[in-house]
This record gives sequence, C-alpha cells and structure tokens, in this order.
Amino acid sequence: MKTWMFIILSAFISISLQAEEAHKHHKNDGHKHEGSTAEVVSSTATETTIKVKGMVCAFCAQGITKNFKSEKEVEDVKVDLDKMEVHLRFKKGQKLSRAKMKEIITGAGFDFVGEVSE
Amino acid sequence: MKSILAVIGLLLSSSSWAHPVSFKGSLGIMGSQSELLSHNQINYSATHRFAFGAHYLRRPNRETDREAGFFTTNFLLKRWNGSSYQGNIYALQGLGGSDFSGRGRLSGVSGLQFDIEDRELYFLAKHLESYNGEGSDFRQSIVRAGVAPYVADFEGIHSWLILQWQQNQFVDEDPVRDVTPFIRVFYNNLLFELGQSLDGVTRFNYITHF
Repeated sequence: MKTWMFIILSAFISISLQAEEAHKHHKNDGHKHEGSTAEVVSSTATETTIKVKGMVCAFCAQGITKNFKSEKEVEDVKVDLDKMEVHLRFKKGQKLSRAKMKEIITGAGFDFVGEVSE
Repeated sequence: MKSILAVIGLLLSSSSWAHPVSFKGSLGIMGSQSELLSHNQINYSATHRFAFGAHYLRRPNRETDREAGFFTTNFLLKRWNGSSYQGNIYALQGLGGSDFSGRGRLSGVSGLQFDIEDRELYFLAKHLESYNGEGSDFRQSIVRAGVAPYVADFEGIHSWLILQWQQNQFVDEDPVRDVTPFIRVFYNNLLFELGQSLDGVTRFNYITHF
C-alpha cells in the first residue's frame, strides 16, 4: 500500500511541477495577447472584458463559459482566473448589452463588477 | 440539540469539497468511496441557489450491507463573492429510506455546509445526519483544509494537498474518527481526490459537472 501511495505522490509532484511550468508559459503568452486584445476592443468593439467577483475555481469558470456560449451573439469566451476576468469575442456586428452580461454573471452566482474598459 | 450545537460549532470554526448547488442548468455528480462508506450523489441546479438531487449511501464489507437513499433539495443560503475568494453556506434536506438501524424505514436527511476558498487556500466544514422515526441513525461530520502548491489556469491542471478530519457514527455504534491527507487533481470539469487515512483506510472522491 505504501509503495503505490509513494508512486501516486511522485506522480502528483511531477504533474504539479509540469502544470506550474505550463502556467508560467501561458501567462507570458497571455501578456502579449492582452495588449492585442485591448487594441481590438477599442478599434472594432467586437471584444470586451468583464471583471467578475467570486470566480475562484474551474467549476466557476465552466458555468460562466457555458452560459455565455449559449448566447448567439458570442463567438468565444476565455476566462482568466488570475485577474477574475471574462474575455468575450462577439460575432461580426453583434454584441451583448451590459444588462445581459450582468444577468449572465449574476445568474451564475457571481458579482458583476463591470467592463474593464468602463 | 447536541447535533445543532455541533453544526453551529462546525460553522463557526470553519471551504469546499463539493458545491451541491452550481450554475443554472448544471448537472453535478460526486461521490466519496472507502471501505467504511460509499456516498454518491447527483444534483441538478435549477438556479444558482437551488438544486434537487438524489443520494445513495452504502456501508460495504459487513456481514449485512447497510444502505440508504434519499431525494434531496439543496439550497445556497448565503454566498460571499470577494475580490479573491468565495464563501458559501449550503443546506440540504431530503426524504427516502434507510436500513442503517437494521430494518428498512422511511428516513429523512438534513445537512449544512460552510466553505470558503481562494485559489490557494480552502476550508470546509459540513455535517450530515439521517434520522428515522426513532431518532438519528447516521451522522457524519467533516472538516477539511487545503493548500494549492501552485496556481493554475482554468484550462490547466490544478492540484491541492488536503487534510481532512471525519467522524462517522451509525446508530448504536461508537463514532469512528479519522484523519486523511488527500491529493486532489482538478482539470476542467473533473476533480478527483485520493488519500489514505492515518488508520490505513484508502479514500477516493470525485466530482464532475456538465
């Protein structure tokens, strides 16, 4: 029993180290991406970023992602748990109203702080 | 009265192993398995504050298996959404049947859970109790705390180290207490935990949401 617990623990440490490394890489890539996202928001208004309070785990992110993706105006959803932000990309010429975005966030059980660009 | 005081004590002293109520329209399946008790449940969240579901408990490896099943309602009584944390109080009530007392009986179940977590720390306390016409036939109290060795993205693998204290008491038996360290791995909509108590009991927990 002790042997396989040791194996599990070793696997856990290995997964943790690899996942942490992947997270660092993703964050570095993300910084570059965030700059370009801001530009897109201001120039075309086909993307927006929402600040959300209470979004602390993957299950939280899953609920928000699922609810936004069910809206026909939304093309893609990305959740940034570090910043507690939700990035929305809309289909061409379409956008969700602020009230609708707030309804989806609060309906999922979280607090809508506002759009980052506000 | 002692049970009520115990629940209040747990609430005052005490995040989240499992959220019985999730986002609207979600289906959550979760369970805990050990040689002492298996407990599986399924919950459908009609809103982010209310879910209904079913629980099945079984006590294996005895001369005569004991089991219980309940249809339940789950309520999110209170949520605190912080800038870096979330706290919750949940309540559960249900009706079903149990033979924990030695013969099948109509039984009720109730429970309370408090949890608070951020992305690196987590704390939970909960109490579950089933009762029949003659009184309580099963009580379970769990207190657990966890720490994440690193912070992961939504799409990454998130892992935690968790320490759990648990007490189970079946009718006419002394309470059984143990402490179990767990390893938790969390990826997308799948979470599982594996641990071994200081008494050598292997435990496995899982949660998934759709």
